Amino acid sequence: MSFKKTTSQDIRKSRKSSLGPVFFVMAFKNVRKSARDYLIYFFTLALGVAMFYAFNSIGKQFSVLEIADTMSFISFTVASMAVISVFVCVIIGFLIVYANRFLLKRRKKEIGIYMTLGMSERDISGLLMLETLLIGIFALAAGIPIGILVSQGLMVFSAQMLDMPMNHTKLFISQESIAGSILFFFVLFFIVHLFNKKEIRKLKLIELLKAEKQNEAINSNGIVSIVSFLLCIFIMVAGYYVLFYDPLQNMMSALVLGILLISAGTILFFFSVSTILLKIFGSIKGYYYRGLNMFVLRQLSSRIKSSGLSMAVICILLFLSTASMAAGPILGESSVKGTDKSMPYDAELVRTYQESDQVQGGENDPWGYADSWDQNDPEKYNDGWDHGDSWDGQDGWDDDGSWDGQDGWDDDGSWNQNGEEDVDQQWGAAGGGEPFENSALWEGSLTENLQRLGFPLSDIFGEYGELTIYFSDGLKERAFLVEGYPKKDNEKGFGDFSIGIVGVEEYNRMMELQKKEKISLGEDEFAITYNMDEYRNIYGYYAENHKEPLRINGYELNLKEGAVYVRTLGIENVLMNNGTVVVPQKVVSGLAANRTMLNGNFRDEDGGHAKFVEAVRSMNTNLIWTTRQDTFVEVTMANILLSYVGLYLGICFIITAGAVLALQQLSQAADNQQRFLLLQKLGTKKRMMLKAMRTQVVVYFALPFFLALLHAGVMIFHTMNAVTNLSLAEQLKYVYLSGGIMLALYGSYFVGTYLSSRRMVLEVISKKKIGK
Amino acid sequence: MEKVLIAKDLVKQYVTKGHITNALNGISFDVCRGEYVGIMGASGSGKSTLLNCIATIDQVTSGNIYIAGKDITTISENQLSAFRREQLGFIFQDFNLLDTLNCKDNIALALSILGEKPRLISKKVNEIANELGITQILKKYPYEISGGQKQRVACARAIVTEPSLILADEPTGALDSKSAFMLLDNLEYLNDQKGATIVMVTHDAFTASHCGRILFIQDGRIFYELYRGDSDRKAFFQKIMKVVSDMGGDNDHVL
Repeated sequence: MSFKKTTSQDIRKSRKSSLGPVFFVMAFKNVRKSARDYLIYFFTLALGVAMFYAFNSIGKQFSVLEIADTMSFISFTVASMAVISVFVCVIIGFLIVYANRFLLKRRKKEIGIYMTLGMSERDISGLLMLETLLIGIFALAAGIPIGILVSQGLMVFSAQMLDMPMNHTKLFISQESIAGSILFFFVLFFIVHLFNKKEIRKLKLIELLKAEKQNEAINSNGIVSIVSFLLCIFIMVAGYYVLFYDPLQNMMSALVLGILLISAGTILFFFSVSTILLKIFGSIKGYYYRGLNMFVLRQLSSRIKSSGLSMAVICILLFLSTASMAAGPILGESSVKGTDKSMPYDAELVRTYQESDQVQGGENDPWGYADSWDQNDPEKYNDGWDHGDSWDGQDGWDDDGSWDGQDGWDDDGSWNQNGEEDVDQQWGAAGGGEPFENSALWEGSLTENLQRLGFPLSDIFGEYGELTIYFSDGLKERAFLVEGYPKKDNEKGFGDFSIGIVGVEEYNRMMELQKKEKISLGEDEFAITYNMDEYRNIYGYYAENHKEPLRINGYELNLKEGAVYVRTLGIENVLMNNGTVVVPQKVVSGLAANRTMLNGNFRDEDGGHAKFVEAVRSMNTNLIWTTRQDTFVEVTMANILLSYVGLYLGICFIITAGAVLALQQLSQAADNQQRFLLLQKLGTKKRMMLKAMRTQVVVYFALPFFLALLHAGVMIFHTMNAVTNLSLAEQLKYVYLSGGIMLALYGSYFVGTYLSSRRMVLEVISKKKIGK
Repeated sequence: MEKVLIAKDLVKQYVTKGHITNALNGISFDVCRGEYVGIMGASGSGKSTLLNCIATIDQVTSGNIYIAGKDITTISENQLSAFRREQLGFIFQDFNLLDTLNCKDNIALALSILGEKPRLISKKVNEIANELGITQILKKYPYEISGGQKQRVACARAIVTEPSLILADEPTGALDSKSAFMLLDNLEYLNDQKGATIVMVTHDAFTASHCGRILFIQDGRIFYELYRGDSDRKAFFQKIMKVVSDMGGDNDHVL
């Protein structure tokens, strides 16, 4: 071997690194060695993948449960999950990058050696990329099974909410979700890789090899801190106040404003608390000079100060997640509550009378139902839609009565308008040739008209009946607000809404359908029905204390003794019967009808729904229709959506918060190793040093935790206050669930950090290189 | 004689809060192929900084450094890393071996990075291990061997790529005298028998006495140069001691 001069020729040749297999060996060994350091990284990535998979497999979950998606509510939920997933991706992405930067810092010396050996930047980042990839694949392999477990749990949860029998739930795996998770992972991986490259480029070799530890300069201006601290308390309390008392009368903005105020207060808190703590504890000589307290106090205060912003963010994340995991399901369930009482029939068709109640034209229906009549054309029913003022050969009905291929009805009977298809069938008939009917203008009863149009009433319904609700100009809620009634806060808006009127005969037919008791009324008697809980007190008070009789349509009626009933008259997705009086049938004649409902129960339990939907869609009218099944799905999906969003975001926020905190703490523990070594040389006992480390980890995790609990507690309390239709126990179970998840996840990060920090301390003071 | 290293007017300044320190204050010197040069000075004299700059670990504020004819102060990061793997070999005071690889792989890594043909790598590693007497510990991991052994492994790693220049920063600093002996023996072997050019920084006169030429640095400047010439090591040692005592003695006589 002799020393040759290398020419530039050789330099170019040697660029082709034969590092190939060595790369892999090194990457593998590195990962194994730093396995413990990588644990937090791995855990976070695996959880991220699991959550991503679980919440995106919700669509598949519903198809397994065999739920019809008539109104696309399920699609909406799935889409919402996807949108949130993007958001989650971004968060987890940041997290992974952050974790990566921490890991890089731990390996500065090692990277320095690579550089002195002449490894190019490309090779170094290639090596790191390989390690990240290895870990990532493990995380993926672990995350997906966890995700499958979680999605099974979610399915059981949904099944319960939708009242589906449990035998429908079976193991399912959503391939699309797996593919999505893998894609998510690769995107993440790619982003991390880019960041790695950027970081390595920034590193200067001399810094790597010397690996200087810096002590942050603490700007501890006492006065400023005290003022900030007081200010922050003030701001946070202001936030609570806004949440509770809603001074702006707008719930949404109260929520947003409250959260902003609380967040601002939290940020100030973390910036000022360290100095305050230092001043307070520092002046207690008995505490300050005992053992390692001085060291711990200064460390903590310096650390909290320098990472003040991130600790505040962590606190806010924890607060939002706990609150949303509890409030989401609570609000969800509250919105569903009582809806078992709000869908008393299988299906319903509604005919409205007011111009304003009619369906307005939209994008698919630019002519609008209200605009269908040609002003110059007295022969209304015979002329379908009209753009301008008269029928002409180009649009609508042709002169010879056949449909023109360009507009309106087509020869093959499908609707189109300028070639567009009537996808939502709002324009009507697949059966070609049927003119549009405005039910407001019908003569005769709803039943008669339906039969006329060929709607197979007896085929679809086993039993059915009609109910017309009338309005009288003078009859408003105010009529039932007896003087002297102590109005509550949430009753301030009452008084101006109309009260519906129904005839007792039709009412009793409805009761028959609902299998409830009929009522009989004397000539001058009336009964009250309602289903909104907010009105309970009003009507109760009225029943006890009213003096005047009720005047309707020229008749004077008195409330029959005890005739206040909680009743739902139509299919509703939220309880909205604010009051409907039942009067003797003759009282309603001459009153203005508001709407007529045809309610019925299917003859055929299994196929009834499909038959009904098909029959309705084949008519070309403006009748409003709904079914119990669809309404139930709509309502439940709202509930499910709220709950899931709460859970999804909540869990992701906690993972973020825990991971960031853990990484910061570990980074500090690594820095502390030299300090502990020094302390050991000064003769400190091992027990004291472990206690010091323990105090640091505990305080660091506890501070944001308890503050977040306080904030969340206030918000949850406020939510529980606002929700009146669930019992305390029912709401509390969600609070416990939220608290449990929070503790489990946050706790894991805490325990992991504690153990790692402990190991790092022992590693350096026992002079035992563990696993090195 | 070909010049492997030419340093010209090197200045290195550190700027901290309102404070400028000149670590290197205008240093110029040459090193010819096959020389064994020592750089001596007290702590804070700038000798480590000088070595770091030559080693491309740190950057000078002004001045030029030519190694094997190339001005390393002007080349890009990519070219620098190519330069490091082909032309330089390092021996650090704290060994800097990778703890995930065994000794053989630590040495082999340098060749792998260089792009050497894989079948030649094993052969070369065994060869150099043999020459430096570390064959028995090749399979061991760094944490299993002593400091002296680690340093000799580091030595092997530095040499195995046949660099133009070997740079050693206090190589005996962490070693006991026996290990130090063995290491210095190795370095002498490399310089004598293999023609390696070595620049070594040290504060220890005994270590320095193995060199062929000593540069004495103080306050960022070379203030004395000592050639061994025909003297034997012991005599050279005495000469060095004299200079050192002069250096450490009267502060008035120093630049």
